[in-house]
Amino acid sequence: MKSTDGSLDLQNWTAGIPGKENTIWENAIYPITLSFPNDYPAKPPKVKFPTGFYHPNVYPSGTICLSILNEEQDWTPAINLRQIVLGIQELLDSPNPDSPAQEPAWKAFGKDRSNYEKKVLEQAKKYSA
Amino acid sequence: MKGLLKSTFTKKKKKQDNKYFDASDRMDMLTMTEDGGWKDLGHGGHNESSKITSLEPQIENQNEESKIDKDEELDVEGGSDFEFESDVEFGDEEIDDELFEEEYRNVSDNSEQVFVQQESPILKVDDGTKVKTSLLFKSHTTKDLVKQMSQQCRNLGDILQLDEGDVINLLQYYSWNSDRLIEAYVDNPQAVKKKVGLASSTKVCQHKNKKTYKNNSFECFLCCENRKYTYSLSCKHEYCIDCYKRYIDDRLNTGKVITCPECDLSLTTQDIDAISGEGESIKLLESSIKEYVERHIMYKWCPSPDCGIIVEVSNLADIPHLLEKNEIPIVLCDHGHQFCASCLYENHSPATCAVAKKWVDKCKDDSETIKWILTNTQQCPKCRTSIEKNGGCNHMTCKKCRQEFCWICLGEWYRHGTSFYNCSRYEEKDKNVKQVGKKKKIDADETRESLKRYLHYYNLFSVHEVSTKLDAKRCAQVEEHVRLLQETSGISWIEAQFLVESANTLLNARRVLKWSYALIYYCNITRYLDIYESIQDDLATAVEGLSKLFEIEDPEEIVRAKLDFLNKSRFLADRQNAMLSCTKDLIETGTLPTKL
Repeated sequence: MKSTDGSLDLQNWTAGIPGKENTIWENAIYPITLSFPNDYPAKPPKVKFPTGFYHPNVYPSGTICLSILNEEQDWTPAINLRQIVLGIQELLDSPNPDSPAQEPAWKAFGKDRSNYEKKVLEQAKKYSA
Repeated sequence: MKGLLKSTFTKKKKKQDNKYFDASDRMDMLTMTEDGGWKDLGHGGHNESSKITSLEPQIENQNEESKIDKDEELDVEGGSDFEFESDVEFGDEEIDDELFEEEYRNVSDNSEQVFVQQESPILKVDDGTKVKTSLLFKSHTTKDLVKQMSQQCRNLGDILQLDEGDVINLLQYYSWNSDRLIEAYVDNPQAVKKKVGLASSTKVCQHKNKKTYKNNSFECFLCCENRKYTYSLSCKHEYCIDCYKRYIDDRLNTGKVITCPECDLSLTTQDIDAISGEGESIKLLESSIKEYVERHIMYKWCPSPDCGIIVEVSNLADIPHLLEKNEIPIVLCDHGHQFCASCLYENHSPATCAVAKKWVDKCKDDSETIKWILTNTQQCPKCRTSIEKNGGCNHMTCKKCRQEFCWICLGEWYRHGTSFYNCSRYEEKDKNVKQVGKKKKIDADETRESLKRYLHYYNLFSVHEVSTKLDAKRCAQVEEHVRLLQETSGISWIEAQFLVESANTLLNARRVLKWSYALIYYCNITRYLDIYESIQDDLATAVEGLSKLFEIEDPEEIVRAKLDFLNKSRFLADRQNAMLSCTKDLIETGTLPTKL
């Protein structure tokens, strides 16, 4: 995990999530940004992939749809950064088709798995380590 | 449980009867109530202590009631019912009651016997217009309801042998559906407890929740600072008391069970009180009220903005019968707002519930759109699609049917030949073009006629809605006027009441007028409608007449205009009653179709 630009903004972090080995996500580091609101840890940080990231549970804006990152759902102040990044890494290869956030990846994941895998591998190449 | 409810049923009815005889009686009673400690009014607005003059019997009556109310669980002596009846003076209401009872005898076959025996209450609203209702109801403030909820929790706690705090959590989890909770709990108590996150059944595990560290030696995991005072549940997840308090504050008004930040163990009311201070846990119940009211259909929120009164309707089963007879189940909240217990809109008489519902739905989705369409578009002469002009040229081509036409005369474009734009001339040489265009235009107009009709009534409706708000503003100043009158003209409080009464008459009549436009929209055009519309015109004139009087600012002039006020509001009330009473004819003559 690296902190940001020269001025060291403690509320905005960037980090890389390595894809798990032996999955279609392997051999790549996916960049994320974490922005911590002023009332963190009462409110969860906003975690984003780059815009247009291909994953069923990532919004077109790149925002990640994960219950532990949702204030109304499972976020509690006791969730630490380690749990967040591990959660995201876990989410990469085990998407939740019940809460889709973007259409292309979700549709492909459900109906056209080979196309889905092809797209993911392309993306992995793009972010290859 | 059921048997108990029935035994208190009669008493409750009596209470209702007493409550709504007459506006003045009612006000006195409310004040009495405060004296007798019978019911916490909670909100202001009934500060009429100067009004109580005599009415000894009612005071006694009220005290007796308060007594009964306190030991509601006990049996009441058989005689008390009769005492109520003999004590209360019905006055001229008696005739109405009889009439009313006769009217309702037919319906009450399947309702309980008590219902037939008791006098149907007649709401007498402040403006002197009578609103009939056979609903039995009672207003609650949110405070009352919280008390009731906590009572329910205690009762349930006795049944399930649990703490009140635990029961609150369980009920929150089960959305205040106590039947479902009992069913699930009896089936498998341990599973339910685990699901909700209650501490395990071995209740006392002597865990010390509050701890104090010397030299601030505790490092809180949440704020990463060294702290002195901490709190933890039996799961031993420990946080500084400030973080815990913030955490609870964040979640207290969600109405959901609050758990330990790290695991599923839930905080009970005792924990919340211990962390956030005594009495904080009441917020937990308050935040659940919404869910509670939604779950229990006998409770209805008063739809008036910021009113916050919850009306409990005890004979819900009668509402369908009323609706069948095209009557409106009106209830009155303690702040004097009338509303329909079925639609949950304001009192929408003379419009029936079906009309009101259809009208509101219609207004919700199309009014503004239709207005825009009518002013900004024309219909394609061929396929009748609404077309908005997006450029200056009058040579239009319909996107849908490719029809080419002239925007000005709506005639086919090619008929213009080479003499384009001649159609704008007043005397048209090429009569053929004009006639074709005219005919098309008439067709298009016909299809738009219904839209225009709707818009006509919608405009009237919304104009009166706006006026009602403005009138309400003006009438709100009436209190101030009354005070001024007392100071400057030296007239007594009771003499200045005409102003308050007129204000109420005005507001009610305007509401009736407003909804009558919605009603007429759905009517077929018959000769009865003509009569109805002329009555409506009368009402509108009367409304404006009285409304104008309220523009007088000068107190002395108001006093001089007193007779005018009285006459006009009397006239208005008469007109309003006339309107309401002939609404029935509309239905009977089939002017208002039974199927909308």
